[in-house]
Amino acid sequence: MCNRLESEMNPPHFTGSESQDMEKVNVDFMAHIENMTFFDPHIHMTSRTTDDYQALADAGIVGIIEPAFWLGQPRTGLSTFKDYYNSLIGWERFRSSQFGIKHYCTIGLNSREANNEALAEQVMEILPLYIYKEGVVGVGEIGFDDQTAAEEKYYRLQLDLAKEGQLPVQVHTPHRDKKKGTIKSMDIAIEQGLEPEMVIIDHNNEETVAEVLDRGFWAAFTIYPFTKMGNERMVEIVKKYGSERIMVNSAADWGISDPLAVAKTAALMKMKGISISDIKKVTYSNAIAAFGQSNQISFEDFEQPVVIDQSATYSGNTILRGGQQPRIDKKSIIIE
Amino acid sequence: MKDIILHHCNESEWTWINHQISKNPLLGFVATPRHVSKNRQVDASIPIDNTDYLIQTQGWTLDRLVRIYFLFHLNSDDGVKYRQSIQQLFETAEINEAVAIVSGLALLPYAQELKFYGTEAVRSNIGQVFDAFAFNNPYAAMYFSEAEWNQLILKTIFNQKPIHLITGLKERNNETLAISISDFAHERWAAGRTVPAQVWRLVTDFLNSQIWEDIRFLANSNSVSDQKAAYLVCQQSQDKKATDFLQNHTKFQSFKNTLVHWEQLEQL
Repeated sequence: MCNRLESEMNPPHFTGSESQDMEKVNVDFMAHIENMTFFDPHIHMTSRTTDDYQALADAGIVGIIEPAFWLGQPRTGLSTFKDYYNSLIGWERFRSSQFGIKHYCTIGLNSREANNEALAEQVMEILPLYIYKEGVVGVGEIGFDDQTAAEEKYYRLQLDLAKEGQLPVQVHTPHRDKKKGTIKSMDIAIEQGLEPEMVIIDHNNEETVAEVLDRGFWAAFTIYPFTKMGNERMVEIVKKYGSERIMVNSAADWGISDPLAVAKTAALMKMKGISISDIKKVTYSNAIAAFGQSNQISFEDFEQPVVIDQSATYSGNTILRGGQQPRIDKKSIIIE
Repeated sequence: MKDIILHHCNESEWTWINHQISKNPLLGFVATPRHVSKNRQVDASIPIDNTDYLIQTQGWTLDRLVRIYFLFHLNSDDGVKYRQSIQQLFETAEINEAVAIVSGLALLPYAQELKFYGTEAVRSNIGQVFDAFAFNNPYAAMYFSEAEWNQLILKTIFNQKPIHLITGLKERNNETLAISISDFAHERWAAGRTVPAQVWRLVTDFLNSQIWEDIRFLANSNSVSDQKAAYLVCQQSQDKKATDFLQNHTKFQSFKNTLVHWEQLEQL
């Protein structure tokens, strides 16, 4: 019975040499990460549904960072930037809290929209209002896209802002001409007087990781299908480079992406024999340590999960108590 | 307010607050949690000048009170400029900042002109912001119009939150609200859902024919809470049909030798 099922469920290209892959694709990854907790330091929840919040909570993700980014199409005015930043420090944080997930954000002008200089100037004026808000754990995601002069200008200005505010920086590295762009991003951060330990270089791959780590920066890896890292490659990276200053994120957004990428990667690492302490570092504690330099996030935030807030005083009220959302049975045709 | 803050502050916090008030209270408002405890609880009652109203701060942490103190100390010589400052802070507020603003509205200069932020809090889908304005906060009782007041109460009921925490529930009660509550109950019942029993306290003085039908319906229901609510309405009503019903309804007999009060129905 078991064999028959297995052969039916495995597509033909998995048969043959890679027998390990056959097991892995059908595995219940949740069974491998029972009682583990994770932190996803890069995920764009404004683009995701509440179902994803539920799934994140179920998979053990206890905290997330939502970097400010572009929305898939360019904004045309300052107010939409302002409303977006407001949603990161307001509505989205509340939405997340309903599922018991702590929500933090980084605030910045993304590289693509830095190319609209007239608007970028206005955005730069309001950024200082936001970077000191509670729960803002850094300036981000900033850096290069096309690697234009305008992008460089606003990258430098925002590095200055981060330095002034003593905040970590979350650096987006470009899809195209990535290696050069990554090196340039690090050079400029040093030129602007930032310490490498205050800078998280994101979207690394096999080609960039060695130099990022050698120079003392944090190396983040985005597990994102088709365009960024796959998690099997990620396992090999941890085997080769260890777990110091390395962190994994999903960067899940409006594209085809996976909000459970961090949890799935942890499960795969466990299956592939990586130690629990290394898994914990790259899927939880390194990110908290890096962004904890903002003093806006700490391990205690998660070790004492019971928050004394106003809602706790209204005993007997199901909505207010713990703020947990009721569950619906998705398989049922009946909606009550 | 100053005395309460002094009582809960340590010396370095108090020094920072005073320094920031003279330097830039607007920025002080934003930066408060970086310099003042956001864990220390403040349990106090703050009287509103020239009224009998109080703001009760149970569940507050010190940073919230200090933020209101900063708002209080913004330059208020020019009302237009003062309101612009509040607007700027509200428009860029994260959750805890919004909570502080709407918690303290009744204490601020030009309080009446700041009503927009109260109605915005009632519209807010962010639970903490709504709660901070709705509960143990006299602003709505002091300044809301009847329509605004009724919206606050109905939204509280709709969101399954406890109305008894709203200041001024008795003084501001009105017939329009009683009818709306009855209509709301009919919708809930039609959908096979229930209504928290304590909301019926608001219809006691307005037993028109529709509402009276509701009370009889509750009195005959199988829910003890609903029976108690009907019993209390009849007991507290001046209406003869209610007092007669109170004497004769069989399901009320068991309540007569026990103490029945609305507080028993305040748990949802």
